[in-house]
Order: sequence, then structure tokens, then C-alpha cells
Amino acid sequence: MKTLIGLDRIGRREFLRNGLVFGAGAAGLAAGYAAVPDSFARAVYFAKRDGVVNDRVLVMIQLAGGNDGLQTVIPLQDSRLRDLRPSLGAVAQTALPIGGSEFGLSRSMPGLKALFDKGKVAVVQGVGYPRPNGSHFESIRIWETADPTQRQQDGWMGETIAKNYDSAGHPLVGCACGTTGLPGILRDAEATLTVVNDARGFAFNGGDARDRSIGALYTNTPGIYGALFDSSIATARDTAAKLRAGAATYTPKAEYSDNVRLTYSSRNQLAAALRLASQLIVTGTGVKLLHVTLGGFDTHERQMQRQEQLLAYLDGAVSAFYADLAAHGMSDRVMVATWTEFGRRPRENANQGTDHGSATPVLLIGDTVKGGLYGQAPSLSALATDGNLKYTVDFRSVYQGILEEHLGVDPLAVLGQTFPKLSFAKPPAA
Amino acid sequence: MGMGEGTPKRLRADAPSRRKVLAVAGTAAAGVAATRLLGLRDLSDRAFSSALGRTAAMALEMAEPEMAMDPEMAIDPAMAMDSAMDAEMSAPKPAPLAEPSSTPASSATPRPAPAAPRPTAAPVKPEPAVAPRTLSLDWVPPFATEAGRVAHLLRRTTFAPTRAELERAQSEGYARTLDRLLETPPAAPRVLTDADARNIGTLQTWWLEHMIQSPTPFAEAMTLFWHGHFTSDFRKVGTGQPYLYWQNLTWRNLGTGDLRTLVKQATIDPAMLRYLDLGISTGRNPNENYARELMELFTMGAGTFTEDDVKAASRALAGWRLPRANEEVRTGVFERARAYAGQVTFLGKTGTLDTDGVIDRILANEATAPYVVRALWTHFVSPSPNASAVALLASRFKGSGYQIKPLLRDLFTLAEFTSPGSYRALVKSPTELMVGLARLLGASTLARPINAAADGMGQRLFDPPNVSGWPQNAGWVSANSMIARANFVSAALGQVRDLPLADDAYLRALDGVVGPSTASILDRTTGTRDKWMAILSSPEFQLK
Repeated sequence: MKTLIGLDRIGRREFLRNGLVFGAGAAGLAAGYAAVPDSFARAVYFAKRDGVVNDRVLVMIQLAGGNDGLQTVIPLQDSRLRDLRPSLGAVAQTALPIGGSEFGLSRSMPGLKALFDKGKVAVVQGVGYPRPNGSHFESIRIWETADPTQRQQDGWMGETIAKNYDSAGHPLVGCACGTTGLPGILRDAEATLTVVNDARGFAFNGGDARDRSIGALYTNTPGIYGALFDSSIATARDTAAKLRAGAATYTPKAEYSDNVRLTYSSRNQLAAALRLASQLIVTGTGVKLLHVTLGGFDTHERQMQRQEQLLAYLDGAVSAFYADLAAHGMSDRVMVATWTEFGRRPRENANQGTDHGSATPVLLIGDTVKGGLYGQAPSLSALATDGNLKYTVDFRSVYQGILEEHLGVDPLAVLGQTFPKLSFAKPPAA
Repeated sequence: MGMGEGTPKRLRADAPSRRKVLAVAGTAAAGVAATRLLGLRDLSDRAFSSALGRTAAMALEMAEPEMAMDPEMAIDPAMAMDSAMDAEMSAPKPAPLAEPSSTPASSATPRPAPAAPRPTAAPVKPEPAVAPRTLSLDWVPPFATEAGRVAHLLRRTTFAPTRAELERAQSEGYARTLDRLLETPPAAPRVLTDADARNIGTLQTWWLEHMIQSPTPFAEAMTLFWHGHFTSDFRKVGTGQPYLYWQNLTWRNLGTGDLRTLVKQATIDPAMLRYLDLGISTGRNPNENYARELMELFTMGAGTFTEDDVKAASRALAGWRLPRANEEVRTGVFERARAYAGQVTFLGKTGTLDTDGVIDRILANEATAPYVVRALWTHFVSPSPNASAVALLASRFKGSGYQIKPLLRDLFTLAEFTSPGSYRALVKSPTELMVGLARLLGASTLARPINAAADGMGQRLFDPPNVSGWPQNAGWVSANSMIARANFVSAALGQVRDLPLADDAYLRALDGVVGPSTASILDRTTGTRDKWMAILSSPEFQLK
């Protein structure tokens, strides 16, 4: 095992300085400053005893808008595909077969096909949840909170941080890369995390004096946003310092290129976001959970070309990310997983597009993955009454596998219940 | 508590005023409260205490003798301290702002629930047992005076008032100012050539310039609201046609009219026809994109309709296509041959329906008025709408035939609008922050720098992150966005040549109500630019 992320490297002083973590002002104040060191020590003790201290890192990629599973992992031998999709079904002829002759990846994903053939990609098919919700925003929230009943408000990644790594007490445990705001999947009042849109320019202009005076301005801020403001500023200052220290020592060892032609979404800086993720991992910031987003998958019209461009971009960016980590000797600790709010309707609409659907595949990529096909592809012959696919794997089974096998943390503490096991990941060394 | 109404003539910015005195006293009071808390937390800070001392002394100096004698003037520190410690109990209530017969504010609206400590979160998990308010300091709302309420109204409705606007409103008073905001027709922006209207950068700076310079900034605030509500983005709409320019003019023209007209225009707006695919939907093969978002995001809200309603509405709405160049209209064109002639079952009733029929049925639905009221409330009033007040306003809204202007008047005359829980309860969006800054500084040249900084803060105009528009409040606050905000302030101050004096900026931009850290920094800061830097970077200025 390489250098541990550093629970042990983070001093008590640093923790205290950052003790008022994201949104936790009230709880922090209620606990009182004097109580913090004890709870810190206790948390570290438990974290170590439970074996949470490992070098594993998770990168979740959101394919926002609802990714069409049937044009991502394509059934090659089901004649129903052509019946339901007179135009879009043609993708079966050009797909890149994986794990036999029954399924293939879209032809626009040669990089992932190559990684699949090396055993580095797990494809979980038919992922969804009961009573699928057709709203982008409600279904995003369901996936973010791991709760189809929509009662939870914390994101499952945020909760994972809060329950397992928060005691590290520095802001880079979790990071949303390539966005200006915190995604719901990372939201948790007790989680330490940061948001970096672009590492270049992530500093208060005006040097140390400005940095300090901003810190002074945002101290004990009153009002309902006071704790959020203060912790965001403290996090910003810490993050800026860490990025400054890391930027000098990181040189990407793969070609990341953003696809400027992709105009479907304002969130098309996936390659830059993954490059930033790599910098954070490679420079030893201690980052554990990262989130990036690629938008544009809401393909209600002229889906074929648009979907292929999006998948090609995803393929290129993820391939570069993997190659970069591998060249830095870090790929054995990082898992990449995709998620999307829903798949799309099997029957294409009159605009050569597809409307909102339900079940969809999840791709897991990395050295910690046990490659292959998991789950069961939903039948195209036995659709639900609304014309959508019937899910075969609860999405929380995927989360459970990631938490338990890849990250080595207790999934029950985050998910609240236990789901059928999917063993697509290699557990961390004890 | 009988806080008196200030007489307008005495409330001028160039003379010590009741508002100023109260506000400063409030600050001092907050400081006293702070010291108490700091004692508990053993965090006392000498510089901070001395700043408080000075602020309290200023409060006494500024109180004119006859005003200090005035029994209405509550600058008794103990009393003010109580209000800081327990704002809800003792903060003065504003007088009713309108006739009881014409407003729901006077009797029917109960006290607002205390603002939730985590406004973005749905109230599901129990909040921490210790409410932040009892542990942190509160700003003391300046709502005891009409001047304080007028400043609040302008901050919420005009991005931030120019000096002239503030002085005029202070002399006119709350009621006349509100009348003027609501009744003045929108000033038209500069007419764009076709080429300019199709250049996204030009279009963005054109609107920003108008936001900064327009004599009717409330119209721009409403246009921005509707742009986020009935949203469309240039990436999907494209720039081959001036559709987003037309859409912007539509929101400005119809933004305070009636909801029926607005929803109809949104439905057949060319940018929207393209953005949500209604322009390519046909009755035979309907595209569900627009029908779903029309109900979920524009009118009724999630969970108020079924997937079958989506399918039915998508059939009934079909038939529109984009206008052709020779048709000289700025809306979609209906073609009967593309429409659906059969019956649909939509929102519980079966029959033939056209687009107007769908909209009528939506407006008849009980979910619609509360949904729209809540959207406006969380944008203009507070993050946590009071359920019974929403219900009342919704019934008045529906009863008026969905007239938007009377609804806005209701919102701005509600007791909740100027209750302590609404003070600094909303986070300025990046556009509001930056345009407000430009208006405060009288800097009409900042449109381009604003546009350049917008992306880093997460709000490029005509480019929302998704069809639900932009986030609100805590959604604007992250490590990343706070850096972007602070850096915009320093960049903007570096570009403005003739900065106005910062002498009264503390009052004009921050109500004279600041927390201990800001007070301490301001006390230590000299020089016009540095003062503006501290004021515009402060947490207080991030809030509206």
C-alpha cells in the first residue's frame, strides 16, 4: 500500500483550525471548542479500528439528463431493439462486443472497450428502483440521497464522508470538481468537502493580505447563512493553499482535451474536471471522494449523433484519467463509477430521440474493479406498462458494493439497509 | 412596541437620522450580545471589543439630543441587546403597510416560522437540538423605521439602489415607492440588430448594461426571475435566430401582467419551442419534454400530476412549429395537421383539448397558484414560505384571474416581508450581486467584467445549468463561488475610475447593520477603495 491518506498526517492544530467544517457551525458551537479534541481523538480511534484507513479513492461521474442505456450498453441479438427503435437501433451493428456476443459498448467508446477487455470495467445492467420517477430533478435527488422515498436529504457521498472520514478534518476529503456549486450527492452538514471549478485562479487575488482579511471578514458571521459563509471561506483558503502546493508537483501524464464542440450542456468540462481530480489524487491531498458531471444526455431529439459525441467525450476523458493515474502509479486505488438519473424509453419518439425512461446501466472502471457483466439486462419484450424497462438491480446494491468492497466502509451506516450483494470490486488490503 | 414612523424629510442620508442611529445602536447591541456569547465561548478578542466600544460611542454621538429624548427612540442598550438576543420576541413589528381590506398582511398571516438554519434542505431530518440563533449573533433588522423598510424593499427589487433612487424612495416613503416600482412601465432596452441579437456575448452584456442603467430596475429583476423560471439556454436554442432576444423582451413586457398570458407565451415562445422540443412534437408522435416541465417546473410542481397526465398533455399541446423567416411573427405557428384531434384524459377530465385548454386546466388546478406564489416568495421574501400565508396569497392570486402585479403587491406588503426572519434571509445571485455593485458604484462600464466573471460564480445569462433554472440561497455558496465573488470585487474596484466616496457606503450598502467582524475591519480600514473593498466583500453584502 502506498502512502496513506493522512489521518495520521493531519495534526490536531490543523483540525482545530478547520474545525468549523462545512455547514456545521451550529453543531460545532454547540459542542463547544473544548470538546473537539476529545471527539477528534475518538473519531480517529474508531476510524482506525474499523479499518477505514486505506488509500482508496472514489470518483463518481454524473451523466446528467438521463443516459440512454440502450445506446451505451447495446443488446446485440435482440430483434426487439430494431422494432422499438427503427433509426436508433442501428447502433447494434457497429457496437463493440464485450464479454461475449450478447452485448456491446457503443462504437464511440473504444477506450472503455479496451479497458473492459483488460478486466478493468464492470458493467452493471438494469439498475433502477421501484416505481421509477420521470422527473429529472426528483430522480436525481433519489440517486443522490440513495432514497426512493425522498425522505433523506443528505447525499450518500456526503454521508459517507461524514460517517467515515470527517475526523480527518481537512476540506479536501471530498471535492466536487469542475462546478461552481456543491452537488446534492455530496451534501451533508457534517461533511468536510470543497468545490473547485478550475484549479487555475482558485485563490483570493491580492495575495496573503487579501486572503487574511477575507478570513477576518468571515468570522463569526451572524445570520442563517453565517456558518455556511464562514466555513466556505475557511475551506476556500485551505483549498487554495493545498492547490498552490500541489500544482507545482503535478504534471499530467496523459492527454486531457475538452471537447469544445459539445454544445449540449454548460457542463462539458469533464476532461478538465478529471484532470483536476487527478492532480488532487496524485499530489497526496488526502482526497477520498470526488464528483464530476457531464451534462447533455436529455436526448429527446436527434439522439444518435449527440449520444455518440457525448459517449466519445466520456470515453476519451475517462481513458486519459485512467492512463494518467496508471502512469503515476496510483490507478490501483481509484475507482470511477458513472451514474445518471434514469435511462430512456426503449421506443424511440418521432424526433429520432427518446423520452424519459427508467433502468440504465452503471459503469465501474479501475484496477480495483473485477471486470465483467453484472446484473441482468431488462427484457425488451416484457416492458412495464408505461413502456419503460423493468429494473433488475436496485441502484443501492451498486452503492453498497462501492462502499463495502472498494472503500472498505460500512455500507449500512450510509444506506440504512442491506441490499443484494454485487461483488464487482476488490477489497482494499487489510 | 410603538416605534414611530420617521418623517421623510428627516431621513436624509446627509444628516444623522433615526435610521442611522437605530442601526448603529443595533450594531452596538449586537456587540453587547456578542461579548456575552464570546464570554461563554472564551473567544474574547481585544480588537473586536474596542471596535464595539467605538461603535456604541458613535451611536450616542449621532443621536441628536431631541431625538435621544424622544420616547420612541429605543437606544437603551439593554433593550436593544434583548432584541439582539431574542429578535423575534422584541424586535419591533412594522406598522401595517396597507389597508386591511386590500391586504392579507394585517390579520390573516401568522408570525413566520423561524428561518430554517439550513434553508436548502427539505425539513425531514430533525434539525440540531440547539438552534444557531441562540448561539450566534443576529443582525438587528432596521425594520423599526420606514427608512429601513424602504431600503430593504429596494435591495430586494432593484439589485441595489443607486444613491438617487435611495434618496428619492426615502423621501417618498414605502407605500409610494412600492406603487412606483409596480406601476412604472418597463423602460425598453436598446434595440439590437439581428446580428447582435444572435451573438450570445453581445446579448449578455446588452442585458447586463440595461440592468445597471435602466430607470426601472424592478422590471429587470422580474425579467431575471422569469428567465430563471421559464428558462431556456442558448446551447440548445442556438444562435441562428434571435430567439433568446425575443424571449427576453417577452419576459420584460409580460412579467407583471397575468399568468395565463405569460404561460401561453412561454409555451409558444420560439426559444422555448426549441429548448423543450414542443416545436417538433406532433399529435401522432408527441414529445413529452415540454409537457412535463410545464407542469413540474413552470406551474404545478412535482408530485401533483401523473405520468399519464404528461402523455396526455404532450398530445394536446402538439401542433406548434417554429416560425419561418417570411412569417414575421415572434411566436410559434400552429398547424392543425400536426395537432392531435382525439380526446385525452388530462388532470382527471376527458375531452378534446388544445393548448389554451391545457393551460386553462392547469390554471384551474389547485396546485398552480401556491406553486407560483412559493416561487416568488422564495425569490423575493424568504427561503421558508409560511404555509397559511401562501394559501391566502394563492387564493387571492387565483381569484384575481392570476394577475401578477397584485400578487407582488401582496408579497411586498406582507408582514413577513419586513419581519426579522426575512432580514438578510436570501443570498444574492451572482447577477444580483454584481449588478447591484455596479449600481451602487454608479459604474455603468462594468457589464463586460460582470459577464466575464459570471461563469466562475455559476450564473451566465441565457445559460442556466438545467431546465429548473438556477439554484437559490445556500446553492450559491461554496468555497469556489466565495473566491469568485471576492475576486470580482477586487477586479471591479480596479476598473472603476471615479469611485464614489465611501463615507456613507456603510449605511447605503449595508444598512449600517453589520456583524462584529465586519465592524472591526471597517473600523480599521481607511481609504475609499479599501473601504469599498471591505464593504462589497463582506458577508452582509452577499445577502439581499
